[in-house]
Amino acid sequence: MNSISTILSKHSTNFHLSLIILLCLSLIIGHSLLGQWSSQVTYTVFHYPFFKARASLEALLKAEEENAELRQALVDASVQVALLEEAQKENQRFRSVLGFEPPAAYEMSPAKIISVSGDVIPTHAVINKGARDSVSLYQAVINQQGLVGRVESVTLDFASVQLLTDAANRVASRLSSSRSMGIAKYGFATGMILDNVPVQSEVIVGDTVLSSGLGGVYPPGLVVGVVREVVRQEEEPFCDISIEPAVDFTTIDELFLLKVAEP
Amino acid sequence: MIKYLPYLFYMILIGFHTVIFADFTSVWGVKINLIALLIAALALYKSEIEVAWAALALGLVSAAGQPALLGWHALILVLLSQIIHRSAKRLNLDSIWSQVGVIAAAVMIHNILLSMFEGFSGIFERIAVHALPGVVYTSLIAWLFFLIKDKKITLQKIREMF
Repeated sequence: MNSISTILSKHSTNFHLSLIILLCLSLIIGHSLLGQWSSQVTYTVFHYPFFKARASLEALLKAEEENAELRQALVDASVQVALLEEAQKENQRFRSVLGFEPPAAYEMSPAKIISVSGDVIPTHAVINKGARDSVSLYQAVINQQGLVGRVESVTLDFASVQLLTDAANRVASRLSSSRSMGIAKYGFATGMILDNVPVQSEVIVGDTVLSSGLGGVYPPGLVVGVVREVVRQEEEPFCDISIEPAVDFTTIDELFLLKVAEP
Repeated sequence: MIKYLPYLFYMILIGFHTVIFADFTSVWGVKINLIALLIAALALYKSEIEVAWAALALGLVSAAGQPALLGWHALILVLLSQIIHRSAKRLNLDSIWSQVGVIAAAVMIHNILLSMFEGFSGIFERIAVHALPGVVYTSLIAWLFFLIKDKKITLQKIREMF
């Protein structure tokens, strides 16, 4: 035993260097197990805290940038709201002069999607609001992009929304610039189309399709989509109008239920 | 135990440099090779065994993100530390320029080997664009470090300049 410790103390440097080289070689040869374990340990102790710090810092910087953008957007929106309020007052004045009934005002109540169903594209969604939250049948549902659908059935705490992508759901619509009217509907093969628009109507690609309010289910002025393509066939009384839906139905998340505001 | 605390600090420093500092201090994609700089500096002043263990530990920390090359990184740094240590013992490395020269050589060898790890296709371009400018950048930092260490640059002198 003594002789071993004497040899070790005499050749201490060589012993240490050999051990270190051996460790390196074992890491090279057995890199799949030993390398991964050592890498995991050193990574967790010496890299991970800095990665967390860096990610937080980057998130903070991004949030600051986003905050500045949102502030600017808020200013723009405030200016727009002021202009629209002015226009609304003017509209009301003219309506009263002409003896028109004032348009209905709407209240929005937010809802979250719990589940969606549908074969290729979602056609129905269940939301976390029900009769307890004053949700009623056929209430129009929108999101920040436009018209999403209508309430199809209501239970105490949940409601099922029939999306515009359901073939049975039709929206009485009109084109925003020509005011031509038609029926917006979704078909699996055709996508969203605007039906029953006479060939003599002026239809421009890119024109916005809005709900007309006729039929009483959907309130007027909600964005359904934009005209993507117009085909006028000979001897056909109606145009074939293809619409790009305003709402991306594959990413819908937060919805708003529209309700006529109490006067 | 306190004797080993600086090494723990160096390991933390390498982790910090690898994850955060290297990107922040990179100029046109050229980064400071802090690991080679640190190992070379330790090899100049510390004992053979101490620097070899330090090279192993710092190599493991610096290459933690590449488990397959962990052993190679550590081995290269250990060998580099021994070459520098043995050269420093035989050569007269008292002047700042000779010390910076040794560090520059160590950084160059390390950078070239790191470029080889990335594959041989486009290696000369990588060496010309990243490895060699990296040697200049790291040597500049080493030069500043030695100037501060030898008190050739002090806060008082900087204040007097302005």
